[in-house]
Amino acid sequence: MVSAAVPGNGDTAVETLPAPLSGLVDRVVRGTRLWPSEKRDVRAELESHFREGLIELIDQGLEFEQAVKILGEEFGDPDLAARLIRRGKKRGRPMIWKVFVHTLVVTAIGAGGAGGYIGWLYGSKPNPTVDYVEIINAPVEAVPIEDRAWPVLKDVFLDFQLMPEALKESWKTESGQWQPGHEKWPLIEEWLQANRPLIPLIDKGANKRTWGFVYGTPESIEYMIERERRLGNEDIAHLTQPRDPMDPALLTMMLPSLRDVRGAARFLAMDARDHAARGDFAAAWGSLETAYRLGYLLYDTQTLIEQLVAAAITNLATQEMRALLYDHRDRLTPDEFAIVLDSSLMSSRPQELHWNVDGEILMFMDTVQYLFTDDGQGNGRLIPEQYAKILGFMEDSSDLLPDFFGPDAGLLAAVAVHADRRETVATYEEVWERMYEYLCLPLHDPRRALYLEPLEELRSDPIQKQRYGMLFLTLPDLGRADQLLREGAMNIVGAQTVVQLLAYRSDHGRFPASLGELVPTYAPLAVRDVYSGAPPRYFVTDRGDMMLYSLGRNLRDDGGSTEPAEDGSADILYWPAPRK
Amino acid sequence: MKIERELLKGVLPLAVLRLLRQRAMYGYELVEEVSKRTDGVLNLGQSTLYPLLYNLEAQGLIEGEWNQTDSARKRKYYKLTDKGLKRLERDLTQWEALVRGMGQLVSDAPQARLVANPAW
Repeated sequence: MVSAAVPGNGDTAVETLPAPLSGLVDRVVRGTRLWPSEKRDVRAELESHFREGLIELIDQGLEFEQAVKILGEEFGDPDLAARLIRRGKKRGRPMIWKVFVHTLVVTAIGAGGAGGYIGWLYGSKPNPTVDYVEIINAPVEAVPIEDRAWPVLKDVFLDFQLMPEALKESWKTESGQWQPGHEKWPLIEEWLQANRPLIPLIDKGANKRTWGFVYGTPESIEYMIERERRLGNEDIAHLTQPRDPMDPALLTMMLPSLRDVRGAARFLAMDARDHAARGDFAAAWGSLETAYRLGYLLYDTQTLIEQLVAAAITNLATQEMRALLYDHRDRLTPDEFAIVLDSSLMSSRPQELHWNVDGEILMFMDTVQYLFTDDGQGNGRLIPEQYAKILGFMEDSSDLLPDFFGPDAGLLAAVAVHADRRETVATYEEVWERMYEYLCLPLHDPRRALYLEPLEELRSDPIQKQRYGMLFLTLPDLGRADQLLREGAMNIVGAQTVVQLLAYRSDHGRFPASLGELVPTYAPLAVRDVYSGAPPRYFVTDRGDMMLYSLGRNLRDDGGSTEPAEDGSADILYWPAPRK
Repeated sequence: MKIERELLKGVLPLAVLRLLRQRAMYGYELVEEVSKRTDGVLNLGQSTLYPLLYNLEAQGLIEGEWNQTDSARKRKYYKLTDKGLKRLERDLTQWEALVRGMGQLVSDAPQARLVANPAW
């Protein structure tokens, strides 16, 4: 059958396929896009096919060209053939290849999915809709500007000379000894002289009804830039950079008022010592009164940091007042004593001081709207870019990131497990409520120690810790803040009680046998120690002097010793009040 | 007579397997045999033959082997495997049932339609 009567030698004539058929084979083989070995196999088979066809058709009596034409036409669509051949050949590939390809496909799908998920996460943008800056400022701006202290003080503080570095460094350890005659006093005197012209204006500001600092305004930044410029600091690049509109407004707001008001309070304390050394009790008391009022105004603010500075200032002022009274205890003139009794220290009501956490809650809610997406129904997912930014703002951020695969993967992992917006807010409210409940208890109530329980419950579980990482980032140390604020109030109470006892002695020539004798003539109410809930420790000494102290945090009577015990706690001595 | 492609789809593999049960054949031979044995009803297009053979080979139903003819030409012969034989027997049984069923359906159709629609 195959010994065909082809022109010339039949078999030899079809050894090389005519151009139309070899072109067809080329086109099909090329179109298969198979492996080279598979292509070789297909080519050999197609060439064999056409050779057999040519021989067969020529055997049947067809001319060579006719046979070529018929075979070419009967073959059909070469492109379709190539596609189908490819499909068939691929199906016949080794199992290991198929497994490899499937693995590749699954991996690609997985990688694509992960990439899509990451893209989805990273493509998210916050959509803040509530102006919390306006909300936090509403109570501030409800007060007429002429009744606010900050508008007066900011102009004063622009010209206020900061405490020299040499003094600032040793303030905590040495300042109790600084008096005229001390080796550092010339430096202090120079500082006092530079700032004394500002005292009337500081006093004017301190006599206003409210503190009146408007939060989060461009004026804060302008003030800081001008302040640094006047102080000769050229490193203000961090202040002049435009604010990133995606930064949580309240969390990143500046409180430039705090550094300067604290500096002013220290200045006034030193000024009082200078007046006292010169024998001018009235001027000394006046400076301390101004410092005290500055601090007392700051209590009426909405952030805990401001209120803690308030406590620090009133602590300093009342401590200096007690020391001044102690120095003059046997030589106070009736006029001088009248100044004390008429002072704002005596008219203030520390028992009514309550911490204001409105700003902290607003700060959290504002941060939430910059950290999560918003579907308008209270739901949303955490945005990695924003979370990383918040972590960068916070010092203790590192332990919130699981260090599995480095910081980026850690961030992604943290974001992946983080609770959504609704859940985060609900947990925050629950934790806050439980903590607040404990913290409203008196300082002597042992149940107060449980206030951290809600947070500890979350922190002890590594997943929960990640899920509610934002809570740990944004919740202030409420227990510590509460304690410092109560101590601040207690220090005021202690100073008031000292004055009442001195007034009693002025009238009776002796101190009362008990604090109860002060009520109601000298004190409207019986005084209570914030730590113990009982009256502070009080007794008259053999020499006719008195001793007044609080048991302090450890609730142990150390006889008025201010030497810290092992737990760091000590009695808080209000009288005697010699300088340290 | 040209048969619709969709109708041919399931038939062609059966035809190829059936032919290979007799003996091993090469591609061109299969084309010719199918056409001849079916009086041209099943005209195995050459561009579909090879994909079909490669598919059957991939399923392990047939296997190909290159052989040399007396005139030193190389041909790839395909033969039925054991698995192919089993498949063929199964498919033939089904095919016969199908042919029977279709035969009855075609012969009963006018009557059935009359019953369904007496007005027709």
